[in-house]
Amino acid sequence: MDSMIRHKEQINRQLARYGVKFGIYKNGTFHERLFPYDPIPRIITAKEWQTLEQGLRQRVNALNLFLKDIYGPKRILADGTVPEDFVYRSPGYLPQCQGITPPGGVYSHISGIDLVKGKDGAWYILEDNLRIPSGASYPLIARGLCRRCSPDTFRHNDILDNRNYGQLLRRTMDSVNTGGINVVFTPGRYNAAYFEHSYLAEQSGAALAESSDLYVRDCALYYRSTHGDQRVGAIYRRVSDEYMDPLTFEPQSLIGIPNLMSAYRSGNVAVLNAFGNGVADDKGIYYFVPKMIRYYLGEEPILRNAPTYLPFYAEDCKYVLDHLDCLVVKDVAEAGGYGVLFGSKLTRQQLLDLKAAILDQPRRFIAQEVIDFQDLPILEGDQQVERKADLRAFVLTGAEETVVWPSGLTRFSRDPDSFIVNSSQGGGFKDTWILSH
Amino acid sequence: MDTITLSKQNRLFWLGRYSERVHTSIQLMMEFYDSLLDGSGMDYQAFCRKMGIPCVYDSGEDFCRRYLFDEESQYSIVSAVEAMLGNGMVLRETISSQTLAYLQMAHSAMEMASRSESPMVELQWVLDDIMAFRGSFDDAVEEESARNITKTGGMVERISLMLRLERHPERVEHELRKLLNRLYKTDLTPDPAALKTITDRALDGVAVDRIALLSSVECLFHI
Amino acid sequence: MSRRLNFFYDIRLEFDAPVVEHAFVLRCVPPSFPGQEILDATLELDPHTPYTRQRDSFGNLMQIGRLSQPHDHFHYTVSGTARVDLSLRRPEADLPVCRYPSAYTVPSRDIQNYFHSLSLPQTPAERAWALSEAVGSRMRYTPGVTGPSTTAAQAFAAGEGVCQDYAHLYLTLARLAGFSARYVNGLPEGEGASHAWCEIWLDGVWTGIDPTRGKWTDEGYIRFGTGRDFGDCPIERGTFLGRTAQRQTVFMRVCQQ
Repeated sequence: MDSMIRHKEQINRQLARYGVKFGIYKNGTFHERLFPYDPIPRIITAKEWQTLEQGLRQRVNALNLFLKDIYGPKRILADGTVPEDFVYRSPGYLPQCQGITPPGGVYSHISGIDLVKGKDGAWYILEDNLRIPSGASYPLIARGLCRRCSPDTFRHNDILDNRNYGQLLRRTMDSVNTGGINVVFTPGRYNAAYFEHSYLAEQSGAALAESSDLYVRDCALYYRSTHGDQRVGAIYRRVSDEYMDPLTFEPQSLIGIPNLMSAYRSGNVAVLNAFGNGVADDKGIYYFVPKMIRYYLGEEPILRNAPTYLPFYAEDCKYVLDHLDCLVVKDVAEAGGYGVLFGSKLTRQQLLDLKAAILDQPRRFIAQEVIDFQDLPILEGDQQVERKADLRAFVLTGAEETVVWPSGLTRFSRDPDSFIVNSSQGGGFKDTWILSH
Repeated sequence: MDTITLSKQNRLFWLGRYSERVHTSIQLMMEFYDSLLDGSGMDYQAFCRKMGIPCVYDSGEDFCRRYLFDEESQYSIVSAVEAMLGNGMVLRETISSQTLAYLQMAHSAMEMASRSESPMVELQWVLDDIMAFRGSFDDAVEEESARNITKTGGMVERISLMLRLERHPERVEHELRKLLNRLYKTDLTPDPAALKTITDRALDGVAVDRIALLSSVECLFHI
Repeated sequence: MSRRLNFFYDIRLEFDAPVVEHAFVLRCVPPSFPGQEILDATLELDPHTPYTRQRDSFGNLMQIGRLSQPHDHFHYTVSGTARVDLSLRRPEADLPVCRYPSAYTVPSRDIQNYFHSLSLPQTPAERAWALSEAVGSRMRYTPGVTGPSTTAAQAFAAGEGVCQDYAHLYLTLARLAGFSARYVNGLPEGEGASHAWCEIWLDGVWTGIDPTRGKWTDEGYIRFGTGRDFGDCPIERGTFLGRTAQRQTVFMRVCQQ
């Protein structure tokens, strides 16, 4: 570990050499920044990982079954386990996908599950990302570089190798591929995650494509190549649903593939992740994930949610209004909403306003207990300081199996008072070591 | 992945042109810089005229500085480095991360040079990184036609600069032959009229006016 | 009462300069369902283009294709014969998603206030009818002030619009009243342009109501497609490459055979 710290500069130079960057828009222009890397890894023991792995697999399997149900028979709505309001009012629910079963029956192939570890030692799920979770490329490339800079560390610690992500991704794509090549579909060079798109294409042996490289003919997707057009069997797309097909979704989209939906509907191409997954990673639906696990799998959830209340239910509403000053309130409405509010930081008047808003539109809010989570050490200059950090675990689901990548993206906030650990907010990342014993 | 799209052809071609432009121009600038030391100076106005770029420079020193490092100018070498890296970035899975790293390093070296009091030392790194890029590119890009597109782009750029700047006229014929040799190994479709002019000049020794030849080289590919 | 209707629908798109890579989805062939039987239907495309038939998630018939070559017009014509008999309509499943606001039918504060100011009658059918009158009393039929992307809230604020806007406002109010209600487009008896109306789920039957004309639909209406709103079932949607102005000419005719 000390060796990792000593080699911080070398590692950063290596990261610069490989252009490990993410893009941000500042004052309307595009800049690329190096993603700050902290050399002190997060370490997860084998025993702890075993639980995490089982819990994550369980959760993602249940979420996939939920999606299959929602775009199919909707049993879970019919018997009232999930109120239909939470589905039909969700901006991520796409009725255009009703009745379409994706190749292999998989909806969320690449799931990014965000967790934090509480001071009580338990892991809590913060949110599920089932649309286009990003970030796997950073720990993936960092590991290779760290092994180079600090070979001793890796000789003396039994750390599970995480450099197989490209193969895992490829295996996932191959398992649902309907016949043809695999492509990674990027909106282009000026996307925040372009580095990742191109790196994952290389690592998984897929072709990197932009919209002008692809077209749909006779309900099949093709890649324009100098050797004639090639059929695409699986498309790992890094573009949001609404921009993917201007003839089905947002008509103004210039970065989509016209009539892609017709190929998908015919079962002629696998789309990773499937369209319409937003209904399952909605902040409101989060509350129901433990119920889904019991409902679809008949199992008790292995990993916990942060304790969550839905003002939609009268009982929860009363609790929320009574304890508003110590809860976190999240606005489920996507845009133009209140965002995330910490009750403890609101003035009296703001609390009253929030109460009125909750009473007016209870479905729009969820409230959670504030989790006191464990801080992680990071290096600030030569000083070791403690900062908030989360873990994004990557779970890959193919036609046959669900695999948890033995790694993950640990993001930390640089601002000591901030709970937000987003890369675009100036945070950084560290490697995540899963010990093999 | 050994299939390339039409848009990738374009990027491969320009990757070749920009890497050659950076390499040749930096060598030229090193000569200029050196001549400034003796006070012999250099005719930067003639240079701008021949290159067909606006001469907005106050002095030889100003020219050396800004032609190299002015990020605002589309004609500067630093802009060419940016374009070289940009084309490389969108070809990662074709040229490999290993190869792209050399372009990234050339880009970083250029940045260092722009901040340095003795930029020529750092510029040497840019040249080294481009040479390493070429080696790595040859090694990593399996598909021959893709490899040859970039090399064809490089040849086009080299000949274009030779003709514009009237340097090494005795080598033009040789370089043209190399270009023809390359382009037959690609899937590119050359402009027939331009190809004829070049073939006449290279293989049959037909006399062609320099400017006409330059325009044929520049118009050889519509990409 | 059963009626046989001949229908003819003709759309001509003209481009000032040739366009390429033209991908399209048409929903201009009426499907058969209890109450509407399509005896024959022919679709002709000019330039002649092969197309694939699919059904979308709302059960609408789609014709999907692509013209890659340069062309300066796209002309499609559908014609055929329908037998319409409302007495053959059958109860169908509810579509819960049609009880919720959609992109075009999010109720603005004004629409909500308007809705709450209405005194609605008792029975569902009466209420459905009263809502149509409520639309008619607030909207003036004015072509040209609204467009395909106008929402119910915008049309309500303007107080005028065309059939699409009437339908969207009706859906917004009906959903506030707790009905499942859906958008319909198709052809009404007569000549002119295509039309939009609504269907409301009453006693298990999707029942047509035309807020623009202030009437329940009858055997003179031929349905092309349905959806939550216009966005789910446009008669034609396309994308192409080319910087050019586009003109559209529409003609339709429905008459008793």
